[in-house]
Amino acid sequence: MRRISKPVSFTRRARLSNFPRLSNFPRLSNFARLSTLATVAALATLVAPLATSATALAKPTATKQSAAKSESSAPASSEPEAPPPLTKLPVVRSFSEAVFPSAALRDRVAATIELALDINEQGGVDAVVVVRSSTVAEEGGRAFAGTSTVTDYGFDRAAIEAAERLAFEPAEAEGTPVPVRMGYTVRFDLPPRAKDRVDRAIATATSTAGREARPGPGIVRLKGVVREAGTRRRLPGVLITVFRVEAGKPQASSAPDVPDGPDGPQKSSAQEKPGSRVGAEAAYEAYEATTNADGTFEFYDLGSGAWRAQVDLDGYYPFRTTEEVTEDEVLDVTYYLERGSYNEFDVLVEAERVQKEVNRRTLKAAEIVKVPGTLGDPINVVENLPGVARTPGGGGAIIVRGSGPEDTGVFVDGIDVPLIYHFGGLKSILPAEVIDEIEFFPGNFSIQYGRATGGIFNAKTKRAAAQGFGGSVDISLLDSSIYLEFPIGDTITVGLAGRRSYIDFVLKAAVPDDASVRLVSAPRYYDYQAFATWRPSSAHEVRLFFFGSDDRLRLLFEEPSDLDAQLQGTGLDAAVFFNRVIASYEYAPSSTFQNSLKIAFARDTFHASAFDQFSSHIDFHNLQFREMARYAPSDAFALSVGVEGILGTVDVDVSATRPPKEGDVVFGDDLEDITVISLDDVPVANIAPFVEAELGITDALKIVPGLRLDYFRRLRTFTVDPRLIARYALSDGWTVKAGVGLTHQPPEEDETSEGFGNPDLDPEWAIQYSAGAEWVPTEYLKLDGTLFFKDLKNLVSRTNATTTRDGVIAPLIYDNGGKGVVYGAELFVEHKFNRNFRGWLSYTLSRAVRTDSGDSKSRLFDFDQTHILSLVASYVLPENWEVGLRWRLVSGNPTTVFNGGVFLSDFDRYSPIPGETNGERLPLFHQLDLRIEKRWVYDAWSLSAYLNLVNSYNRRNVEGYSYNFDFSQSDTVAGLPIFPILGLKAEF
Amino acid sequence: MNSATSRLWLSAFVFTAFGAASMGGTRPANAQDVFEPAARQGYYLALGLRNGWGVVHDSDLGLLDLMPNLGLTLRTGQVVNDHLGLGIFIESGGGAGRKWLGSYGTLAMEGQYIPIANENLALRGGIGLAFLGVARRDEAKKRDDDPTGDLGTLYKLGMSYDWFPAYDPGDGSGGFAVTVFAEGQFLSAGDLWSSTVFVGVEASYWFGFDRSRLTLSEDQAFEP
Repeated sequence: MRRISKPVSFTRRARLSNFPRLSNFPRLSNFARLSTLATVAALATLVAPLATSATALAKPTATKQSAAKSESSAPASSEPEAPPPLTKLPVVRSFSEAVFPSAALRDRVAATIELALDINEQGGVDAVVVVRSSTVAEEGGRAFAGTSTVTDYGFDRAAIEAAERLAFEPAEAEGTPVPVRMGYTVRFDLPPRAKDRVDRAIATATSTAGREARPGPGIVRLKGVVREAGTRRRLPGVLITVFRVEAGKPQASSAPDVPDGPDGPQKSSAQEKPGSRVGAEAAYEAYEATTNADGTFEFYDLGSGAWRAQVDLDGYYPFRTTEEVTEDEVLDVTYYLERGSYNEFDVLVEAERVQKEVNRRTLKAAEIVKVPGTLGDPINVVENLPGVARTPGGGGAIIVRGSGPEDTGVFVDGIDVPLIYHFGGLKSILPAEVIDEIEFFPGNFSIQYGRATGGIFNAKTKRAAAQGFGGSVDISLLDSSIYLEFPIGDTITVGLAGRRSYIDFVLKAAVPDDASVRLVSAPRYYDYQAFATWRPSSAHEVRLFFFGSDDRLRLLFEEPSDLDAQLQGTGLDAAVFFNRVIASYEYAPSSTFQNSLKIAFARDTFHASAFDQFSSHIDFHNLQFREMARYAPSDAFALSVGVEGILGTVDVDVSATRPPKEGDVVFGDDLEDITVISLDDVPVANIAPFVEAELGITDALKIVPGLRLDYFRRLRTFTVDPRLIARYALSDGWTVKAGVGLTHQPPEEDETSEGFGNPDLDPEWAIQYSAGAEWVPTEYLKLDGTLFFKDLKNLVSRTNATTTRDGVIAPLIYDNGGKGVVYGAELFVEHKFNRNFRGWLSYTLSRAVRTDSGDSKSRLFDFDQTHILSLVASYVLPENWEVGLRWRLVSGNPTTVFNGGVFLSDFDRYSPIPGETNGERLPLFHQLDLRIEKRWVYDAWSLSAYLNLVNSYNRRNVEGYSYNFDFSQSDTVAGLPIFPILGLKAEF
Repeated sequence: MNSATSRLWLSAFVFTAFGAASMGGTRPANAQDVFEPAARQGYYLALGLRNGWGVVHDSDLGLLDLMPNLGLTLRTGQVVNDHLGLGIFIESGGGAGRKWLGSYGTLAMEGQYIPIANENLALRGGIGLAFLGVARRDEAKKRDDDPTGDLGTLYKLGMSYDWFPAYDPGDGSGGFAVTVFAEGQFLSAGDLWSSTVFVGVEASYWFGFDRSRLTLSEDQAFEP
């Protein structure tokens, strides 16, 4: 049994003055599975025992009366008085249909939920408790992988919410309203498939062929379809009423009630009026119809003239109009109903995956776009989650639990991508429109991920089947994007998207002609996506997803020697380009077995050149694969086996100095120290089989052990990663959790190249420990606290040591002598969408230190931030307004201060004298971002306008220090000032 | 005995076959309020003039000047319920003190609170992006290190009253109004800040609610 919170207020229907009560017309709903006959039968069932008990009641009454008489003469009994018998049962006064969870509809799963309702003396529902739940998957229906409980589809919640909205005429005992507890069953029956309906119609027609012709149903005079305004979604189960009033003229009524028809629109015939009322002032003629699964309806044999049409639907504004019906034509109409709120969370069905990790954060696309300050970018939103540090100077990297950006794995549908942000770090390479949700693991992640000692970020792309042609166009100050999707038949969905920035046009116009730098090609980016999904049956899904990104920047400097005396030439050119084609096949015949196969063909190109001295061109062609099978014969055991890897070749042409590394203070002292490398078809192979078990030791204790074996061809090394996660449910709301795991990560490519680094390096590794607790006091509130500790070893670190290669003494450049420690605590308080509010509070307290090779003293990690606090909140207002804020308070990053400079005559410039490495901190960072959004809904499309105000109170946050030529003076470098991002988005 | 007031929970489980809830689609279930027609409903568009007095201050030079101020305002937004309105505004203006000239522009978001539902008095506030510029009046006294201006944040708080001179309840929803207002404004831009008090007047038009949101007569409601 599960008790839930207080009931919400009832849905109020639109009030219309002077309108006949709809309760006069019997409901001939095609979708409410209660036919008139069934109602009578049920009532009979109800009345029979009542009749019996009524007889019984009479006796107790009589007995009671006699008992009352006897009471007056006899001492009162010490036993408690028995409650009086009911003389009237509760009667539904206001009925509310439950919302069929869309995920269940998609997977063709029906359910029956038995509830117990506490009905008070006013007829309101005080409490609802689930007594029993059961589901039935339709034959061939898609299994819901990983879960087996009804709550995963949200049936319980939907039934409870519908029951809470019921209103009753209260039960009575001896004429007095009394509170009662009553059983109530909610059945979620699947509507017939469109194909089944057609087949059945054909079968009916065939079976009656040759028999005596039956009279036809009449002539259609008025037909149409009911759609939702803004989305054009067809609305099934909607009641349409047409009526006309003739003042002073009574209407005769002798037709019987029309029973529910076969599949298809419910017909009402003018010859079979369902009811009419003769009144003293006016008489009217009225009919009802209910839309079928396709949202269509028909009225037969309506008389010519003006008919008033009304459409009422819970959750929508009423629709009213007048139609002119004529005898010689069929009037075909489309009615658009406007929803009361177009907040995505109203229809968001969150079927929770059973969690097996210590920390797994997920955010839906609908949530992503609403977080202020992140410009609707899915990757930027991650920065507001526990364990993630603020990226200095803006976006562009994910820094997780004291690990650098290169230590966190970034995936799209489980496939590795080379970069996640476009130039400048303002936007990621995937727009929110193609994303379904993002999942983020700050540590102790599943064995299916590896080659990372930080965290894992995985963007899952959209998989929902398109209902029809639709899409969106988004225009903001930074870029514009378009998204289109459409179905092909019943089984294929195709999607296309593209985006291009135009900040280059803005900058070109803004930079003066006499500036010392000329923008030949200002930073510009574009990205593109296309996907096709084929679901031949519920158990199979084949998908092709193509996406790519192209970033480019070219600058020309008038006097590059102003930057550094050693620089020659005038140009700076950078470009990053990559493509992925992911072919995937998901097979899930039941909840017992699922298999997922993904193969990706990839091409990554990195190009950079600077001042005729430095150039770098890297071309990486590769094939990535990920195969995983999961077998779960029971709730207590599941086994996942899989393999993933990357195979490819890389071409490298580099002429440059060594790139800077974490912990470096001064680099590139000698710009003449250039290394040249030219390699073709260098093979790359990383392969990792893995196995993981999910063991339900008891109902409350779940243990997930896993083992992963990595092979790194470049390093000619195998590594083994064992991991263990445990979760124990102390009670319904409390869970404690812990995890420990070993992860390995190969060094960066330049660190192991013969020219730039040390080919004999070993993988870095980390042992991650975490422990915590989760508390879910209500359905909408969750608190999650975690302690973590990370021991980093074998870190690649600069060294002055030398080695002998081929008989020649050469500098080692790097070794595996570095180490580090990270520890801290995270708190995450999340309020899911409820009562128009959503938000979370995230706080991380941490310390990350490093010890470089050969050093005995440790230093702060470059991105160590002691306190990271993020408060995110959004509130949905009426009339499709939404407001939100994000406030962040973050410790300043460590920094190395320069204490003057020394003149290097060989290079004709000054070199700084650094203080203690990361010995000081920048000032505290805090910033408030606001967002306001308004949506206008039209019949076939909707338009949203939004204003993001980043850094609303214009806090001048210090991001670093700049120095004069001899490092004798310094000034602060401020981050972004207040700036607004205005945008428009049209959806259709 | 008054069983209606006692907390008797009769655990007679009476099963009825009412609630066979079967649907073919998802539907949200928010309450949809409808309103009596009134003037101050729906979207608004207002164009106004304001006059004020304020100070401009620089972190290095101190108080720069006291100056009168004249500005243009353009506001648009919507009343979302009986007590709350949201919108944006664009304002621009300038002034001249004895020694300094000042100018400003702003693009900001605005909220208004209506203390008494459906009445015409509103408290309003706003925050947004602003630009503040200053220059010496006397060219001869200009110096190289004089402040010139910067981008910053504007904060505003005030109150207004809308007068609908020609509104009749039979007119339905919305109408023309003359709005008088008084407000205080603080603008912080880099090393400069200014605070000004304004009074002003606006001509505003209220577009009213769509008929689906209104309680109407039958003839009005069912207009084709």
